Amino acid sequence: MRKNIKLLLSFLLISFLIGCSPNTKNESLYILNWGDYINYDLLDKFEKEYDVEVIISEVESNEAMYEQIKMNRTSFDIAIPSDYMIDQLEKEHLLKEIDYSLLKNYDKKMFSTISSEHAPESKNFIPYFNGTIGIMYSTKNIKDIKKTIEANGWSTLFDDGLIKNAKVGMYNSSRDAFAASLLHHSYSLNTNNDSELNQAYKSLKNTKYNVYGDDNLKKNIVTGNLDYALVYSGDYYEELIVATEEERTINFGYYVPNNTNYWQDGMVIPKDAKNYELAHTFIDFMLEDENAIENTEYIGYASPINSVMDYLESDNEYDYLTSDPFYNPNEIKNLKPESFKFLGIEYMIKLEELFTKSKS
Amino acid sequence: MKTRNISLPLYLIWLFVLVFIPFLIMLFLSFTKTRGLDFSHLVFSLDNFKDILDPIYFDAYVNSIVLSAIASLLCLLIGYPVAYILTNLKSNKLKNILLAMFILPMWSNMLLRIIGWEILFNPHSILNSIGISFDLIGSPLAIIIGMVSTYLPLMIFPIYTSLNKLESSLLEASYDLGASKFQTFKSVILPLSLPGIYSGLTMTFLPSATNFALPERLSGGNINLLGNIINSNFGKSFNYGFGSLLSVILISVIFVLVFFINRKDKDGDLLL
Amino acid sequence: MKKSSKVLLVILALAVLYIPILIICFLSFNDSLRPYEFSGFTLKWYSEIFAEKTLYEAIINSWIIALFATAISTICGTFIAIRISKLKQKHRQTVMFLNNLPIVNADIVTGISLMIIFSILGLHFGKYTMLLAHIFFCIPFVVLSVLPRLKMMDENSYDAARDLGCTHLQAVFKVIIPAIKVGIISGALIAFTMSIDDFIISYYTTGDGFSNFSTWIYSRLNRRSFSPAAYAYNTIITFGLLIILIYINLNSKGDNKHEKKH
Repeated sequence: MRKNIKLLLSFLLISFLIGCSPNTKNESLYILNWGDYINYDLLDKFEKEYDVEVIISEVESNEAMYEQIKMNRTSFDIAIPSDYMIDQLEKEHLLKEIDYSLLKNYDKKMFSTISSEHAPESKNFIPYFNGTIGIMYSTKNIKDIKKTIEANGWSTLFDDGLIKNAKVGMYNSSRDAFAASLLHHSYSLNTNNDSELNQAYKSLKNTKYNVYGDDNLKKNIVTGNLDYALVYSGDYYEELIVATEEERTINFGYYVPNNTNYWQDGMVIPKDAKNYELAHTFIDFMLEDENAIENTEYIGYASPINSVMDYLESDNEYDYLTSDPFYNPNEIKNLKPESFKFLGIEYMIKLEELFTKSKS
Repeated sequence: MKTRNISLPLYLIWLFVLVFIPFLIMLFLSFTKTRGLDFSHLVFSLDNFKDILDPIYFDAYVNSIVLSAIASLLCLLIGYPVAYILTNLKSNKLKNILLAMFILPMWSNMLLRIIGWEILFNPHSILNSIGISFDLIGSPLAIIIGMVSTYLPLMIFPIYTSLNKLESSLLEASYDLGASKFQTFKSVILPLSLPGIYSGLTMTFLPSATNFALPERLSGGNINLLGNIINSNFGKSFNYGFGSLLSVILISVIFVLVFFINRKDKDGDLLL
Repeated sequence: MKKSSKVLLVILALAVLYIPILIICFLSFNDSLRPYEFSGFTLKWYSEIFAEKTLYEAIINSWIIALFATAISTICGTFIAIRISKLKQKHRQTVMFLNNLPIVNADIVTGISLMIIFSILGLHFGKYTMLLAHIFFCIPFVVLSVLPRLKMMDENSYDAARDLGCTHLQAVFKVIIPAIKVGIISGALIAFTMSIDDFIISYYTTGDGFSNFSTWIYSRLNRRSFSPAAYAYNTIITFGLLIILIYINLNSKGDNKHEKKH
């Protein structure tokens, strides 16, 4: 018995030592991010360069990001929400002001026209990536799917039977799902008109979606388990980059109807951030040309930074990306972009309720 | 003497702080419209009680009850005979190996087990190479299979324990009195193993009805259970009031269940 | 029941449990990153467990949390059970009612309850809140598994030890604990099993980017940052343990007195 107790005690001690091994790094930077939304090598590089520890938490929606910032269970130094959520955070005084004098790589003119024209109202963010929403499809199961989708645009996502027996996926995010439906009816993305919302709701309700998902939509399309789905541009381009690198046959495509949601995500500093200066150092680090390029190469979204896109265009290796008609939102022909506006938290809840309702 | 006196009161305080106080907070939040735990912007309202009757959530309640009930009954149908067979195995070695094999799946990560099913249930899967293709994602069947697979051990073990407690002399007495095997089972074994069945049903039904990862993965987001609704109210729409009301109702149902089990089970050791 | 139908039934039950585990095992040897195609046999994911820093950390975290939660809840739970066993029947039933609540309570409700109370208490979310939560849901299992052993014990042995000059603690350590050892060990095993595999409660009570194996998997599903090394680790744990258990069993003398009581 005594031996057992000794064993237990020593094992406790050892595990306690492992558990509480003192942090050798000086400071910790807490980042709140989307999944797969940063090149993880850059984090290692940043840790080494500044002798800090980067701790990253990942969520799958703007709403979850808002919840994390508002509840402040962890004090994040950096968060990367989308345009309308940035405004929501700003209006609820959940953001710290950005001190532009601390950002030596920042220049107002470094960002694309479309990004500046459709910027959120808040001044306290630094553009990170931008993109569109569109329809990603698999060419595995259905012939002529490309033609049908290009001819029918958003309607393909809503009219059951347009493509017989197709398996369709929808983003499990109320704002994005409603965006597609409102665009299908040619309404504004920011409408709060009940009858318009109701029509959008009905279209969502009357369509049978095989999967409501997020990152699994793109995977299911690449597999052929879904025929097409609403995705963010980067979902498609990330798969394209991976498939190209692995030299696989590419049996999936992407189409963006002219009227689409243009969005951009920005780096912000939440109000409870504890490492205000380090947060700026990180933002500045991400704005450095070399790092911004590395990040863009990995993620698949187009960078709003002009020099990054110029670099990609000058490099033959990325021809398959830069020659793609929908890759860079700044260069999509005939694009009629509309970005999300913050419409109040009541709106957010109403939409979430309508969306839940539409699923059954 | 000290340790002897304080351990229990401390435990009761601990349970009070971690079970009862959150319950009171959620009960309070049920009567409010609130965004998160923002007590400065509380508005009292009974809207949550109206919402709860909204048909949009009815499907979730019905799904939770029906699917989990089917799953737990299936667990019982498979689990009872298995536990019975295990109890009556003559070879101790075989018994122990089988027991180990039934415990072990609980050591395999629950999420990965669900992902295993998810991979199988898609039409394009590794099974294609041997000529099989399922298309079950989004069907109730997929969820039921997932539930049975995840929670079956929680049915087998309570029943096994209660069967194990049966004294063989009792069975012999029954046979001596001329009862057939079936009669003995019906009037001796079954009633005496009822506590195990109750506990097994509770341990499979409740987690099935409230898990949110399982239906999320296996239904492609098409079938929502109670767990999904609660999860999305806290995590996504930040509607703590409504989420709290659902939780409070759930806890109340569970209170009653535990109370019931507690009454049946004088020893208070039924749940394992 | 006929023998053949018995065998069939046991096989069916095992199949339901093991099919997904075998799939995961199969994928851990699959060279392809994509779970729907098999592109060749490989062992690379097994070495990747240590190379993939975040996964490795999450696994270590799971073990540390589970070991601590088990150790603490086993010690506390045993003492609490000893106390409870001395209560009168009526009081004991009431206390057990309270004790059983967290066991039967839905994980999601437990998780949210703890999140709410931790937020209100102003705790810093991270490994300590997760540990606290795990201790919370482990103690009742230990109590539940120790109590029946205490009841089987001769009530007078403690008093006898005291009469022979033992202090309270001595009596507890020399008389009671050896007598209820099996209950303590099985309680600890259950606590450990519950803790290392927990997802929902951990998901709600963690912060600081601290993740255990389950939350790591959940946050990386379908993403590029997901590594099949997770399949490999799961396979090692499941089948490694199975082999160890079977080996111990085959090498032990035929008639084990105490069967595994779970």
